[in-house]
This record gives sequence, structure tokens and C-alpha cells, in this order.
Amino acid sequence: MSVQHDAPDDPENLAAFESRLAANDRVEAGEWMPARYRAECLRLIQMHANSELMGALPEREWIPRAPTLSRKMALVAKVQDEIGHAQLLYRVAEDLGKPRAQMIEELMAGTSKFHNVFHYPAETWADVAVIQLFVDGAAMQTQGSLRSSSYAPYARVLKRICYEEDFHIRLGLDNFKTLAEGTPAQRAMLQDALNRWWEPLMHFFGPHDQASPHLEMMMRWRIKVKTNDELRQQFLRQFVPVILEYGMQVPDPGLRWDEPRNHYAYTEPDWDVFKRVSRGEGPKSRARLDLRNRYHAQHRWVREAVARWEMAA
Amino acid sequence: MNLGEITPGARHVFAVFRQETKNDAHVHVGDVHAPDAEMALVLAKEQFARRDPCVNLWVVRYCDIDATRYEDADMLEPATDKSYRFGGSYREQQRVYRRR
Amino acid sequence: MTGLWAAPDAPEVLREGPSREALRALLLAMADDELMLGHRHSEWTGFAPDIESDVALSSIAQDEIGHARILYEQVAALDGTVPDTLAFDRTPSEFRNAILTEQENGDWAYTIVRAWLYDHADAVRLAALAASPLGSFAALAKTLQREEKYHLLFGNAWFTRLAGAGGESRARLQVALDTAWADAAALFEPTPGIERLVDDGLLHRGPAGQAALWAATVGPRLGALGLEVQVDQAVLAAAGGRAGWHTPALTQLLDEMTSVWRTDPRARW
Repeated sequence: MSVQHDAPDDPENLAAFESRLAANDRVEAGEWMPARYRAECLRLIQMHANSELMGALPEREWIPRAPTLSRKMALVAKVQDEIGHAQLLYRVAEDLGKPRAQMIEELMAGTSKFHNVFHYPAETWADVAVIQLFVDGAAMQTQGSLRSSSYAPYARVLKRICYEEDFHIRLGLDNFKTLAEGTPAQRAMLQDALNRWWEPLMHFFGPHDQASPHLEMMMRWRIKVKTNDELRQQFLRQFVPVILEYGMQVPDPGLRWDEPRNHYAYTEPDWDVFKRVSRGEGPKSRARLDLRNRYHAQHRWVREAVARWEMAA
Repeated sequence: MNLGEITPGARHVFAVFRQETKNDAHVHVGDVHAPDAEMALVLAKEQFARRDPCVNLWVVRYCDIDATRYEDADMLEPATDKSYRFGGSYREQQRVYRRR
Repeated sequence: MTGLWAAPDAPEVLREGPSREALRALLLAMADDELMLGHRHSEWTGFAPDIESDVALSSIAQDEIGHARILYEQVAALDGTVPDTLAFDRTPSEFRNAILTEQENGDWAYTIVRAWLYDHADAVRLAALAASPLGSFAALAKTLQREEKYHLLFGNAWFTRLAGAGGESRARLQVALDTAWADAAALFEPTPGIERLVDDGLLHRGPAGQAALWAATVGPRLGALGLEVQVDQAVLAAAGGRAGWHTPALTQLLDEMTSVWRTDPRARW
């Protein structure tokens, strides 16, 4: 089923919908909703699901190399959660009108996006710590805020997702602390990872929001709850102190707390890089999609077998 | 309303219900894609019961679930005074009862 | 020294040489099996054929690695070391896992066939331990059995569906079975001194009896699904995992597995 962006909505329904949302009511899958609302929710949740599925890849590279048995089990459990989140999110997206198999095909074909932060390599074991603590920490800001999304099925799964993300962040902190308090080589490896991940983290929440009718609508409909800048500041307030507490460096000489303005001042990251990565031109964009496609192709016969079994069942 | 109407592939999407202890009712916790009910139970176990323990799981095909419409939610709330159905409305009796 | 050896109900024989060594060898072999298979299963995390099975197999991987750790704890207690040292600080020829568990994942058919054959064998092996009159030994086996029950459920569900789907699916299953069968039978290759444990009454059933029970369990089920196995005694005799003979797959696996740990074995990770 294709979603029409410009299908005119019945004005009476639209007015009723707007007033319901204004009264803090939420929307369920089978209820009437403006075509635009459906399309925006689907786009957001499909991309979120894609990001969980692709976000599993950088860390999963380190599962075979995890340096202790308990690190290995915990890392499998963590990556497993991300795959599980993709399952929950595709299910929510599906009821907005697109079958899961089609969404997977779109991801494989590169016609739907996944989050910028997952287009980068995970070069060392310290990258695992940085991803778990800071990438998941950043994701927690967005996901936490969206628990008050107007789309009820999304808000509901985000409760469970945030509960599990909390485990990821604590696990990340444990990994981070172990390396930060470890040998000089471990500390150097950690600082190097932090240096490489800082720009992707500053890109994480997207560019500064420009006032626009689109943004106004997204906020009014509670598909977006906080602005990109609010989320970025929230992230910095929570995580800059963690970096400093363990004697690590924030790799931005321009970063400082601006007391009068009550926020962190920072050096603008390169937004052209952000745009390139968004277009799928990041350092690992192609390789990660290729890898996923390779397994997807390898499993074709399994999907066919399951389909035959479904017919027989 | 049949939930299969809004769920693509409803025959192979199963709602999962989890019972935490025998003192609890089964609660809907999510769904799985599976070719049949037996496989749905196998897969539901790890997707919905891998952290917190439970004692029982149910799976139900989406196309087999019928539901009221949210448009009719007002029907599910009393419109007129039904306070007489609640113990809290009988204050004097409550006071006497509690004293015993 | 803690562990099974020091359990209050541990018989006198466990306090001296040969029986104790035999028990150590058995537990080490089982631990190595679980670690290798858990490691291989975890290589599917993120790449299984469907999302739900990815989650399920990732749990099974965690269980197997967890079982390895529990078993290593017993061996480590005797050796005066720790589980991670046993897992990360041995050369390939010091591992005692059956070759089946170290083989690369191959396709989903091989993964399912291997898991199915292994989990049935593990069930027989654990039943022999669970029936041990040594209470602490039996309790350990029963703990592992609780999780293995789900592994069997998952393996059976996939195995029967892939077989029932016919066509390419069934053909791949048969190829995988041809590849895995002899390696699976070698799971029962005796560990040094294992017959002594039977004689001591610590183990309910010896390797030959376990192998026969396993074959009597999986054989008819394969037959019912129309799958065939070739029993080649010569191949069985060529097993050797329990004596430290392995394939290049194990060397590669360990190279990768220990690569971070090796950068500084004395560091905390």
C-alpha cells in the first residue's frame, strides 16, 4: 500500500483529529489519521527500525573478539536487544501500512535510510565502549522524549526499548570505566575512539532546527517532541561530565559550559559531512549494506522454505 | 473490527500474551512473525521472555482477534452516575465495617 | 579448593589421581564444546534469516557460553586458575572440544543440523550426569538441562520445517547432515579415563552407551522425516577432538577470539 502525501483529508476529520491531539489524546493503528500524519510516522518509525537493524553491525563485529567470557555474553545480549528493537519497531511501522518484508527490501535496496551514526567503522574494542555509552546515550535522549509521542503503538514500544537501552548505557559505562582505569594503552585506545566518534555524536541529533511550517506541524502532532538542539544539549549535559570524570578529553577545544546562556557552547561540526553521510556516502555505508545484502541473498532459500511451510500450515 | 484488517499478513503475525505468575492474567506484550503457532511460541519465548521470568505464553493470530473500535470508546465509559456500584459511595457503612 | 571435587558427598576416589583427572577431562571437553558452539552461534547474531530467529539463536549462544563458564569454573577450581584463562590462554591442541563444534557455520541448514544433532547428544550426556549419585554433580547437570530444553525446542522447530518444506531446503538439509553426521557421532569419542568414572559410579552411562542412546533417538526421527545418514565407522575412528586434534577452523577461531585479550593478557578487560 503506498501512502499518498498529498491526498486531501476530510476537513471535518482533520479538525477532530487536531483537537483530539491538542487535548493530549493519542492515536492507535486502526483509527482515522491524516495521510500526512501516517506518512510521517511511517517514515520515522521505519527509519528507527532500520537503524536498530543496521546499528547492530558495528558492535557485532566485536562479538567474536570480546576479551573475556562475560564481555562476550554481555555483548551478544546487547546486540540481541538491538535486533529485538528492530523487531518491535518494524511491527509498529507495519500497521501503518507497509509489510515488514517490503521494509527489509527497501533497506537492502538503499531506498530507505538508517541513522548517520551507523555509517562509521568500529575500529577497536574501545569503539564498543564508546558506542554503548555515548551512541546509546544519545539515542536514549531521542527515544526517551518520544515516549510522549502521539502515536500510541510507538510510544508503547519505546517504553520497553528505553528500559533495555538503560542496560546498554550501564554496560557501556562499565566498559568505558574499565578501559579508562586500565593500562596506558587501554586509555589511549579509548581516547582515540572518543576522538573518532565525537563528530558523529555531534551530528547525531541533526542540524539546528529551522522554523518552518513542517517543524511546527511535527511538534503540534507530537511526532517530534523536542528540537534537535534541545536533545543535543540534554546529551552534552549528561555525558560531558562522564568523560571528564574519568580523566578523558572531550575532543573539542571549543566546548565549554556557557553559564549565562545555560548551555554548552561547542565547535560546529561539519554539516556537509552530515549531508554526505545522510545520502549514504559515509565511510561504511556501502560495506554495511553490502554485507546485509549478502546474508539476505544467502538466506533466500530459507525464506522460500518458510513460505512453503506457511502455505502447508 | 477484525485486527487482521489493519495488519499486513495477519495470518502469520501472532499476538503474544505473557503470564508473569499464576496469580496474574495474561497480558499482551507484543507480536511475532511466524509460519505457524508452534514456531510463534518458540520465537516468542526469547523475544518476550528472555529477561524477566514468566510461567506461560499464549499466541493468537491477528486475523483471529476481534476488537471494539476506538471511535466507540465512549460506550466503554459510563455516561450517567454509576457511583452506587462502588463501595466507596457508602461511607457510613464503611465506617462501621472498618471499626470491627 | 572448591568445586565438585570438594563437595561434601564427593567420594574418596575423587580425592586422588586417576578419577579426578578423568572427571577433569570430561568437564573440560564439555566446556570446550559449549564454548566453541556458543562462539559459532554468536557469529549469526545480526545475520540470521529472520529477526525473531536472530534473537532466539543469540540467546542460545549466550546460554552455551554461560555453560562453558560454569564448567570451566569446576576445572579452574582444580587447576587453581580462572575460567577466562582456560578459554583464552590455551593453544588449539590444548582444546578438547569435538571437531563438530569448531566447524564454520556454513549455511542455515548446517547450523540447524549441527545444533539439532549436538543438542540431542548434549541431552544424553547431561542425562548421564544428572543420574549421578554424586549430588553436586547431578545438580550442575540439571541446571544446564533447564536451558538445553529450549535449545532442543528451537532446533526441532527449525529442523522439521526445513525438512518438511521439501525442494532446495530439504536437499540442503541432507547435504548438511552428510557433512555433520560423522563429526556429531564423534561427540562421544571417549575422554581419557571416562570408563573409570562409570566404574566409580559417578557417571550413569559410558560413552558407548550414550552414543547408542543418541543414535536410537535421532535415527528414527531422521527416518520419519525421510532423511538418511551413512554410518562410516572408519570416519568415527578418525575423530580426535578429545585428544587435541583439530581442524584449521579452530586455529582461526581462536586467533580471532583471543585477538583483543592477547594485546595485554594481564590487563583487566
